[in-house]
Amino acid sequence: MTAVELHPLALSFQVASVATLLSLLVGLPLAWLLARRRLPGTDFWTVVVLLPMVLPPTVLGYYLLLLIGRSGPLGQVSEALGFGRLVFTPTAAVIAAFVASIPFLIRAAQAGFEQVDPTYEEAARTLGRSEWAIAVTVTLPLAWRAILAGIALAFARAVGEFGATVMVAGSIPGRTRTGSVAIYDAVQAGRMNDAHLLALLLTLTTAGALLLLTRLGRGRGW
Amino acid sequence: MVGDAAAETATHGSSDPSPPGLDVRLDDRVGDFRLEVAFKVAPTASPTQDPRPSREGSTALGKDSTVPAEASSDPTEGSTSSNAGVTALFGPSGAGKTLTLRHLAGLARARSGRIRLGGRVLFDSATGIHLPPRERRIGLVFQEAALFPHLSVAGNVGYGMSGLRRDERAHRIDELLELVRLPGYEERRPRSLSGGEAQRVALARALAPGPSLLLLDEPFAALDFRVRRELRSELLRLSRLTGIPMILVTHSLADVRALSRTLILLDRGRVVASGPTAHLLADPGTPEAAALLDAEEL
Repeated sequence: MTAVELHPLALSFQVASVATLLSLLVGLPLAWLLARRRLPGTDFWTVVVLLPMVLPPTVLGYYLLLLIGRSGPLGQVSEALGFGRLVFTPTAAVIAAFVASIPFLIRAAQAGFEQVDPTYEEAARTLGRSEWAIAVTVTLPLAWRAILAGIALAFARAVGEFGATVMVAGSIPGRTRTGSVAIYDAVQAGRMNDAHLLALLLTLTTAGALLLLTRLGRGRGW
Repeated sequence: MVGDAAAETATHGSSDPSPPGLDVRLDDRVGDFRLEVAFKVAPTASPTQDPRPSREGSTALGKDSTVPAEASSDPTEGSTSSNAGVTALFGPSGAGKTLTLRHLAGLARARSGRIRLGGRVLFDSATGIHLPPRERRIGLVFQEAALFPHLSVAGNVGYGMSGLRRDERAHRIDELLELVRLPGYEERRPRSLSGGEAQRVALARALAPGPSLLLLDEPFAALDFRVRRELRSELLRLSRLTGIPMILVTHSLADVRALSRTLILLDRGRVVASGPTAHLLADPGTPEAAALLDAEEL
């Protein structure tokens, strides 16, 4: 196996890392708003946010295609801004992984935030701190374990993303072919040794990443 | 800034050019429960000494020049020596004691009423004023201490002093821990503390921002008899040292006797009686008040 054939693995981890980071940035505030019922129509938003988790990945991919395709609204914005087309680029793979993984992060983080005893936040309020400071210094650290679990789940889901990725990013060798997609391609082409190796490496590295996150979570005990 | 709309407060028939103590009138409904209370607490006598560098405290909280314990050295009632500025809110469970505290702290908002403290308007439904908790300078000690479990003792005590420089804050933390007799506890974790120690840290934490008023929500309820007694005298000492007026929610008559100068009897959301503790205990005035005080250790 040559270095070139390992590219899908590296790409998978890059895509999943960026997607998980995005999920964290977008998902944490959303999870907090949902947990504190600060959004009008909380139930509606809960369904919207969790929908990607239950939709068939190809359905998800189809909607994404409508959104970021060359005639889709996001696709056109991207081209108008000079970023070029989105479909069949690594960016599209990131978007697919992001949308597929963010529900896992939100669900875990929301549960984590809901478990934080509101008395702590009230105590912080009477001590003169702003709502923002309280969210960062009290709520977030107290929900940290749940958030870590969410990160792990989101990352795993992002690495495993297949259906939506194939539809919006395709399988361009050395460009958009991620690990999951490469395994499928290898099997289709009868390259079973490649499939074996890729599957094994993907399993080991993902398990390693999860182990790392689990360890991190254990270290934060008080 | 709000003039004297205090005329209709009339509950206690007190004349209006009142000293800037605490003036509360609340009407609120939570589910089936109706809270309708009005009471005043006179300002406390000046502290014997101020162990807290309160100038720092006030810069940390900005602007406001209100000095809580006005130097009106007329101890309105009773002895100056003991229970200087502790007011007890006494009544059975469900009387609305804790809810009243939450209103004072700004954690709840009444449908109508007004709260004034030391000449500042904290809440006034007529003018739509509702200061958020962080602008009220009112400390709150919870029944279960509610120390932040992820922070050290120093982190907890220093939490309300984020405006101070690092070294100043460390210095104040030392002072405050000294004050509650827990020197050297800086690096301890809340879960390693006993119930009594946790409440002392909670006291230090609440005192840290230099509050104008300290609220205590049954701070001894979760503690055993011996620690209770110890903390009672601790609280008296703190009250005398700091001169910060305190409102203690309790359903223990022992607490009332040992700690309070003023007593407010609460039942089913209403003030049944209020006045100097010694007077009320000796002569409750109404059968209703007598019945409440009779039910020893509710």
